[in-house]
Amino acid sequence: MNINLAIDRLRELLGEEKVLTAPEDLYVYGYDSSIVYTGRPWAVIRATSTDDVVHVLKVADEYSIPIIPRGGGSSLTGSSVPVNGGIVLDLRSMNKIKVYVDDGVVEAEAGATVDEVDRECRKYGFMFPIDPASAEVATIGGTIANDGGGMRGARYGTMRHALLAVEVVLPGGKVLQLGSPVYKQALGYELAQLIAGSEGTLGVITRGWFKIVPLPERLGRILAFFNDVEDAAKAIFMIRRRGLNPLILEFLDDITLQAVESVYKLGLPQAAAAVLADVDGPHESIERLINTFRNIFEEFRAFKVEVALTPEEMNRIYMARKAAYPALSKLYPVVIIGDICVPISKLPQMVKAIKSIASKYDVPIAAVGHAGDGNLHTFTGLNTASGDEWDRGCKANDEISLIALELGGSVSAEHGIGIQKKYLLEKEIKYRGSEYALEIMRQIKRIFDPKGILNPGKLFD
Amino acid sequence: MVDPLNDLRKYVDSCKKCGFCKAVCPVFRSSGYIETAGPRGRMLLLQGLLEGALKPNNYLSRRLHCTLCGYCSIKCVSGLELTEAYLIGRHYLLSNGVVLPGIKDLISNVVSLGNPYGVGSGIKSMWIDFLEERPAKESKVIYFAGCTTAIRRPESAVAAYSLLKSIVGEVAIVEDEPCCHSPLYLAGDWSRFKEGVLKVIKSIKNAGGSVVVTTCPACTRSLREYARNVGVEHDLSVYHIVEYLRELLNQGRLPNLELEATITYHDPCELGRHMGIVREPRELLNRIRGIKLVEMKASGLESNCCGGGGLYLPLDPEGSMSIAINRLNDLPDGVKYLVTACPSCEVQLSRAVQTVNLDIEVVDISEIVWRSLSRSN
Ligand SMILES: Cc1cc2nc3c(=O)[nH]c(=O)nc-3n(C[C@H](O)[C@H](O)[C@H](O)COP(=O)(O)OP(=O)(O)OC[C@H]3O[C@@H](n4cnc5c(N)ncnc54)[C@H](O)[C@@H]3O)c2cc1C
Repeated sequence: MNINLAIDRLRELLGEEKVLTAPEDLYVYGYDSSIVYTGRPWAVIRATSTDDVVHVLKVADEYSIPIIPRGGGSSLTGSSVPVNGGIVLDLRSMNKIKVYVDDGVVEAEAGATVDEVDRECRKYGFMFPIDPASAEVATIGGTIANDGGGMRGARYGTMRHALLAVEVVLPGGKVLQLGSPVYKQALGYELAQLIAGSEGTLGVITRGWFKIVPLPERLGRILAFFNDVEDAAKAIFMIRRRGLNPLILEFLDDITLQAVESVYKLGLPQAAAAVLADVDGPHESIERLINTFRNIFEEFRAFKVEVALTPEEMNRIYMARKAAYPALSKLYPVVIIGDICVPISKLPQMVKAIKSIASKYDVPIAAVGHAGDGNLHTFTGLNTASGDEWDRGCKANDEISLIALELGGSVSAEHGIGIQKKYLLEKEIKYRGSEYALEIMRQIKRIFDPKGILNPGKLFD
Repeated sequence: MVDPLNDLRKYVDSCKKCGFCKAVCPVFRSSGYIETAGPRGRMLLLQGLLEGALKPNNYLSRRLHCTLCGYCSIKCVSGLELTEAYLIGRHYLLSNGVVLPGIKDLISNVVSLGNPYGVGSGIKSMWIDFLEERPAKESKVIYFAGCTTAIRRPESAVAAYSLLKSIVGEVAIVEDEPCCHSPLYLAGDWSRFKEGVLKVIKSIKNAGGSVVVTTCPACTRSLREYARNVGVEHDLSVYHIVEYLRELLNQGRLPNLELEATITYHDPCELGRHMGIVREPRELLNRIRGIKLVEMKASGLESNCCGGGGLYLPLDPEGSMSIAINRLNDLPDGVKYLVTACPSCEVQLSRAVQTVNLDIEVVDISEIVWRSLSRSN
């Protein structure tokens, strides 16, 4: 492999300004949003078209150079870190978006952020169904690759559920469109879905086509506080059993509420847990729906219920949820963000387990959940990313993942595997007695990427 | 002064690298989304310097020269004042002999000619010739025009002075008004800034001043904030003109104002985000009878930058103009005046308006108030 020859070749093909090799650029592109993973690429290429990507993958194939696709670099698991050197392929500049209103489809280039796509859809009375908290930074390519989700997950799932078709470039420069931009397709193996969650290890995504959903006619928001986690959980089960389908249904534990209150002074009461729900529908239905939710919350002994119907009020009570990560971030220099999924019925057990793990490792852990789909995020606050305190934080985080597994859940819900969860992925697959699944994944990887140049060191070894 | 690298540690150690700051950074966007040109990139560069993995050099310095608009700090989940960290970084680089060519010229202009534009003092004081009468040389209240207002927007200086004079009576200006030296602070040359700002304070005091009113947020910050940052304490009351006029309004000393126009207001980053002066200009504008104030699509603390601040403009005129043009996308429909309260914003936005050929006049708030006063009297 002669990296200098390859870089010279790429400069010729793409032009000087798209190839970065200054030590400062290489240092910066060695990071993503994960805390401890870091690497140093040999070069950074800023692609502005599928043709650019084709050139890069041809040259990379010829010279066997690792390629690390990158969007917003907001991955929490180290998945966009160039741990083995190579070329970081930055797709952020590829950000064209087109809404096909009559088809209910949006086409977006890989580098557009989820928020940019959502804002474009809103111009036409639609919204992008997937709403990661990192939407302003996370790109379409990165969010497909990590199979990201958000608060609306219970209703709309993760990225793969909105994905209709995807354009990918394979090592050697072959361009494929996998899937078709229509709502139904029975075309044998779902290769587009295979790309979702592949974390840049199978191909470089250059664009995607997605289902979009109409903007709700009206929204209402309700926030209820409980003295007992079990009561909050029972209220959540009852919401589902009564056939209600809120747009979002979020759970907040006591540590989260305390942290938010101590930083933002919102006037939140002391509570063991809170549940936040958004209901949507025709104008006249909202008050009725809100009342149904209120009744359920009160049935399960909510001691305070706040309702918001105007955008201002809604923003105010949403702060309790939105401020969870910023509050912890202001209180602690280092915050480990956890991501697990459990069967919804196991939420109270999981929350209890998190509490005992926190006290076992003597670290503060706040739990916030997409209660509608069983996805819990933990925020472990630490003063440092090294030494004993860091070790305890990491152990606590891993133990939480293992408990999720025991409760019938998964070690990763929407943040992916990257480097951080490689061993947990293996554990989960083994736990289910399906070791061969890992072998299938390895074989699939070899078909797409025989030389193993795409994002090496991620997902599995 | 303390060790700048040590000062950086608290910022670098608390940065979560979430990248939420990038979403609003005008320089990240105008660079074509180069990570190194965004706020998270800048924080990582500072981390690299701290670790010793990166060495002080021009490229790194270039990347630390953003517009200092401060929108990144609003987005920072850790609540860090990121622009402070960039400034410490600039100071560290300059202390290590790294000064970018464009910045070197600017510093030498300030030091040798008393303004960053490299013009003679005669040009800077030319606006005075447009006043109805020579201003007083001594007074408790000093109007401090600042280099950008005096040289680039003399009509704003004339309006501001005339306005103040007509309301408070006696207002003086400092003879051979020195530069507030904010460019030196922003360039990281803190020791020469300190010398400079001491001279400014002395010249104001020599003119009998205890109250200083400026039309330039950079001058306000220089005297109010940067001076303190380098250990210079003084007892001057320093106001930006919108604060001062608002105070006069509260005291019932503002005369009737009247102007028939639909206007919008651009919040200068230094005034709004950095000094929190967001309500005052609006209260003032809403006080003018006949004015209909329509907000821009992004305003207040979440206003978008004009590209003119932070010493970014001399280093990347094209990028700076693309930021200004982008800001025009936030204009509401049907406005006649785009009002602002900073001469740099005014210059930038006027050029942008000309470039894209929009039918809208960019004016300083003092001019609007002055026009509405002249009209109504
Ligand atoms: C504070 C915070 C909150 C977050 N909240 C959420 C949340 O609510 N929901 C959620 O799902 N995630 C969340 N995340 C995680 C992260 O934002 C998502 O995983 C996001 O989708 C990653 O997108 P990105 O563009 O930043 O990808 P990157 O970090 O750039 O890359 C992620 C992975 O995708 C690959 N990749 C990137 N672009 C391409 C491409 N074009 N082709 C092929 N592979 C590619 C990379 O190689 C890497 O493996 C959060 C992160 C942070 C820091």
